[in-house]
Amino acid sequence: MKGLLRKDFYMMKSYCKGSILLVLIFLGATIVAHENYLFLLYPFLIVSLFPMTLLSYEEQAGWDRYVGAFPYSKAAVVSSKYVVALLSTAAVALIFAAGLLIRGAFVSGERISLETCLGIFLSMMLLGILSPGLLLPFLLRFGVAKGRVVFICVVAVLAAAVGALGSIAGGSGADAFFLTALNPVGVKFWLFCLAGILYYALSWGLAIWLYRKKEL
Amino acid sequence: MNTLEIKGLTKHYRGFALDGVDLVLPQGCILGLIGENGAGKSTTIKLILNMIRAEEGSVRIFGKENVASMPSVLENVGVVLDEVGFPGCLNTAQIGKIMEDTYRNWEEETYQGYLKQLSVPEKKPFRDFSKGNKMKLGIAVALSHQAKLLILDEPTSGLDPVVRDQVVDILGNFTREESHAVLISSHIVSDLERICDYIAFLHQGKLMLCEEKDVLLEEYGLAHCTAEQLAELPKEAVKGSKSSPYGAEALVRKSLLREERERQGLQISPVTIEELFVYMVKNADQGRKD
Repeated sequence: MKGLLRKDFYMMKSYCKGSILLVLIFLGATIVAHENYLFLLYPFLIVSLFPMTLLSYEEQAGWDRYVGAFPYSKAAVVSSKYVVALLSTAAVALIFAAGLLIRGAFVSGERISLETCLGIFLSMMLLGILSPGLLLPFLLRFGVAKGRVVFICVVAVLAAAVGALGSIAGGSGADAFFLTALNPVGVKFWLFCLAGILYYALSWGLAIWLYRKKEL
Repeated sequence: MNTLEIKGLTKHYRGFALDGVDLVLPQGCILGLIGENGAGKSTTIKLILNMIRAEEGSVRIFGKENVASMPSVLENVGVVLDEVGFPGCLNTAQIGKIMEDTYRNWEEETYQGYLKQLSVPEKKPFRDFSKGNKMKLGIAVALSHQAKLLILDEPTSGLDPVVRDQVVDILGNFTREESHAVLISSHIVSDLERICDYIAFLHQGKLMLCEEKDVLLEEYGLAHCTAEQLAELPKEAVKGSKSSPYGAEALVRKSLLREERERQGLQISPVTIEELFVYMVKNADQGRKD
């Protein structure tokens, strides 16, 4: 799988430059405009598109078929995209958490604990894996063109999920959800994390199962 | 020992069926798979590589069943498909690094050597390559990880005659090693005639023949005669024919015509693999219409 990940890295470097810049701008805006967490949805939405972007370029080049000529298992082909989604989400979540830590160090009264930082990181991860977890099984099995329809549904589900999580957390909308994330001490939070891990693992397994049925 | 054994390989699509194909590729040999567009060459290769599932039949590579031994068996197989599908942003150095992480036996020096030998542009991204250069890069990759079997789907299409000649020489050198073997499909029959030890004809999903090239060239010939002489030839000896106001020409099995040759003084000239294929395909199509 190392070869596949290296290929994905080269492709992201080439095809996702603009998106990475946008992600950094939105992250910066969220860190500076403290407590306006709605901005934070965009970086994660953009990052969640990375595997879809890669798959789209791969299809265009014929790599989706050519990959069958190399000693990669079908599980490895699928897993590389899940790992890319995890790593890119983790990178954005880390940058954001680090940004808040740095801001806390310089702005009086906004110092945050490492526990809060971990909470933010995990909440961001949960948000980041939502979309790839829903999309990847369909994109890998049916291709990007048909997968786009699923993506539209995913965006709707994502918005609804954030709203629902916010209201469960005792408020409404994205801000309430992220404020809960800043205080990750309750059982509810860790249940969310567990549910997120299960959800991603199930999606990963489903994608491998579906992709094994695909003829290249 | 056989490097590749295919038995009763069958796959149906709407409007096309690959029908019970049997092939054997011994070690140290080159097998040329010849067929018109849509004959089933690429389908056969995809089935060998387990890229699509066979409905019936089996494929054994190095004595192991392909479905069970994939993908590890591909460590020892170099593959060039009809379309080399590297992502367009990659250059040759990046592809080399990806392959280094892909194959256990990747040889960077060998790869660089083939890139130079085949004049593959090193700085350009893959999307800016000509079709020929894409194919050359695919061939360089397939030859740079100590593969024992090469599976090549139309590797010389899109190449100019000089490079085609180079590629044919490279493949010839590859099989000097006794443990190596090549399965190559093409409809540029002249290339295959130069290098192949075995020839297989595939027509509309059916295997018409699979035989040693030298046996084919020895056994078959082109008889030049009149329409009347043609009508008198034993039917089992005639594998295809064409007539014109100036006379007739027939693809014949020489071993079945010894008496006729002496009796009629029949002129039989050597046949090329291309002529053999064209006559046999036309004969098969004619037989189907009748």
